[in-house]
Amino acid sequence: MKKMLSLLLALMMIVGMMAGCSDSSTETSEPEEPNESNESTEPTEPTEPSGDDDTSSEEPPLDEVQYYNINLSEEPATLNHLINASVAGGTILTNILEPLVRNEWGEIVPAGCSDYEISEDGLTWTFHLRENYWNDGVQVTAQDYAYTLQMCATPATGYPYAADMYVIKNFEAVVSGEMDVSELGVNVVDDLTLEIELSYVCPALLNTVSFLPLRQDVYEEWGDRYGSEAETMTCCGPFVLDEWTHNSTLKMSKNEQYWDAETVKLEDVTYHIVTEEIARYNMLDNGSLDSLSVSDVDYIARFSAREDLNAIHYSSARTVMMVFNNEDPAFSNRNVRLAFSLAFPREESATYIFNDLNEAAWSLTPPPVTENGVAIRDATGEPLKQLVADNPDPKAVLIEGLKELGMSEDPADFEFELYMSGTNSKMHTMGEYWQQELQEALGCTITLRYDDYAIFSDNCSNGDFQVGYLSWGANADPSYMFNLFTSTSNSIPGKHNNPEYDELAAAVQQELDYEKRLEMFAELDNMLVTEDVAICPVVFGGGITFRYDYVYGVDESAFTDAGVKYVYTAGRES
Amino acid sequence: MVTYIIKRVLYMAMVLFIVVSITFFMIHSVPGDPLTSSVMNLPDEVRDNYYARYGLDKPLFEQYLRFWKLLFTEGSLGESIKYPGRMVEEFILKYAGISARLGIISVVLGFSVGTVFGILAAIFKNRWPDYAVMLTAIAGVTIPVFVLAAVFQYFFTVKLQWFPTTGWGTVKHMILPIACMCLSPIATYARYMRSSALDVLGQDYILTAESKGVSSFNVVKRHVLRNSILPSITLLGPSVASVFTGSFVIESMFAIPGLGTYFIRAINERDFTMVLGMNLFYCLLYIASLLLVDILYVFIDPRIRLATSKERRKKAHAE
Repeated sequence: MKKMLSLLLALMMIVGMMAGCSDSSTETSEPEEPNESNESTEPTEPTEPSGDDDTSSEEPPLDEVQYYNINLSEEPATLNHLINASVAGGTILTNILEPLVRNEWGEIVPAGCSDYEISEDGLTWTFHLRENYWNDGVQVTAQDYAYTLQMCATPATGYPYAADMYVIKNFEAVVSGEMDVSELGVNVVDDLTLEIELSYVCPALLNTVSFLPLRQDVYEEWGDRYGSEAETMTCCGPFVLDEWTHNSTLKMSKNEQYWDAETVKLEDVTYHIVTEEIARYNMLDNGSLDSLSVSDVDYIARFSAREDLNAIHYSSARTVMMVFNNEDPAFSNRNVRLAFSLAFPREESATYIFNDLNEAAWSLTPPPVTENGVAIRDATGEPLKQLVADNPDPKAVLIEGLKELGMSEDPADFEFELYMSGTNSKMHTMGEYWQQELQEALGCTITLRYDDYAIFSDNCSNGDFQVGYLSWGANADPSYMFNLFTSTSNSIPGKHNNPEYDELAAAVQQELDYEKRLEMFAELDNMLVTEDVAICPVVFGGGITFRYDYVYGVDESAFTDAGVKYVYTAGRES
Repeated sequence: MVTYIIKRVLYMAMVLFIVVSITFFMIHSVPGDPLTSSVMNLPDEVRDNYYARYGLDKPLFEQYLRFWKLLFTEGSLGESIKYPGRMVEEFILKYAGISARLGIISVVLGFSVGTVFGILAAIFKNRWPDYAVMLTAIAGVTIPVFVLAAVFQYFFTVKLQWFPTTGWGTVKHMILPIACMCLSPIATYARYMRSSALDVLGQDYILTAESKGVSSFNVVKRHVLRNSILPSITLLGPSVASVFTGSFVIESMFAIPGLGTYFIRAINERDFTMVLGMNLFYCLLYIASLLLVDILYVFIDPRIRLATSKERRKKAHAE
């Protein structure tokens, strides 16, 4: 407990220091000496053990040999960040490339840049780069960061998150081929100064876009093969990728050229690509892995009993939901949708289906999504709870809806299909449970359909579904989640269409006042969940990580891109 | 014999063509494409570009022609859609070897140990060696390989910590996967061998050999083994083909960078080029190994002739 406390204290110190320079709006603040923050991560000050603490609280000295073994749940399809769309790829990239800023312990801190300024109209952001080097000795320049953005905007690249980049001036026109890439709002002022022009004021810019550098000469040398092997790319982050044995391991070592190399303690990091759950558990069990997220109940019990493993509960910032097809004849009716949402067994599902690792969801945004430190979820007031309390009989609401639709008023005549986005046994368990519970509560007939995600997604975007089971990850910027439901978005297949909602979702992106933003987000959430009933929230994703007690310095926050930069071990048995 | 082989190779080419064609149209008729299987929010323009890159915007038949054209003009199976920048033939060249190393060892081990076990069981019929072999055989056939792998992994890497849990590179990494993979072949070959050896042991010529005073070791080596091994050889063919494509279960359980993982996943991910390329490769191996087995028969059993009827007639005429 004490150990955790002292760690927490250390972390707070770093965050506090770095937060100082992240808020620099018009004035340029000099960055702190990097090795200052470095010291605070060191386990130098053992706190006095207090009487009520029975476990030893002193952190042992740093291990001489610093290495770390962790799991990567799947093989990254590519490490070319221009086309990477996988979480696994992002996990590796954050360790081997240096973004302009990083999200560490919930705060945006300068990384590749030492500081940045925002012009008075909020439309021009100027980044001052640090002296940092690629692992082949070439200095990282503003051109490298600009090149990424230019390539992302080039239509032929096929950048998967292009829609999130429209905030950059002319990005949309360039990506659709209407404008030349030279007109993109990105200017290289000099080798260490990068200027980014925005198409609209966007206070959440650094939460939305991750600015990674790319070397033009290296990219042109390898072409399509860039990032497909360890040899076909260069690194400038805390670590260098040395070896990539596809579908087996990714090995990296400390980057001695890195600007903040003093902070980095780990010498070797190995990501083990193990897709089989049981194999992962065995690896944690015998110490081949130092840390692992565990979802199997039996293994959770087993690892919880071990004294050398710390259990860390985390939120994965995902929302599991049911999406209604708003263009379906029956589900176009609000009362029909509402009846479904009211009857849905949320708490029971969280307990029986998700083993209490996930929390019942009464709103769209998962708890880690915050605006100025306040969770959007808390700001909504969760009116769905009140609605459920006010309508103890969802069947009556369904009958009302059927009446409005001019259909038979007997719910027993009403039949609909629940569409699950997978074919594994877990999907079947969930589907059958909800089918049974909802049939009982609503008195209607529910059929089930299961398909692999590819087929599910295809069918849904063609409108071939009534109610679909979906899980979607959030972003540090709350707007991301809400933009999924605007009438122009094609991400979520529900065809939610409410001009008022669209207007508010657009307005909030440019709103500067934090209080107002929070209010607007909460309103959007309530519009979606209780007024329009476009979705039926189910649970918020979460899990439990088991980590050996000799591991320190892991950033547990949901949207972190610190990677393993600050991790170190102390007291590992050799 | 030569004419026969040429004829068979021509048939093979035809079968290959038909199988690949069927696969092509089947995989394209399944709903979903590589883009929808990954969660992406692409603007229409980017989406179009993406499809154009892999020729997915063209009519289906044109895509089909494109596949063959690429194969014959450039000798390439095309770029993987899921793993951009990597060609399908690259995967095969690089990872089939790893799968093959595991596969060949387990098949050779399975075949030789299985054969010895089978003959022992036949010779000691209804005595303890027979029971022991048959018990192993039943276990080997009935225990699914993933259960075996999980048990072995837990016991040998967590409890005893003799071997690394996962990974690839050293001999130690290979022992557990091979142990898991060869148990089932051992069981299969042992059972086949036992029944055919029992059959042979009851033949008159065995009695003759024994009465001539041939030592029992030589009876087994010269007469029993050679006469009873044919059914096992028949089985060997198809298993050689699967050696190169690897075992999906074993490879994902032990994080072995073989071909098996790609082979299975490509289907779920709708990686069209990968599915086609892998299928072509597997199909080629399969029919080639069938041919090889047919040729092998001739050397093991002189009674078998592979000549076509025309040649045989000619020969008969000459005699």
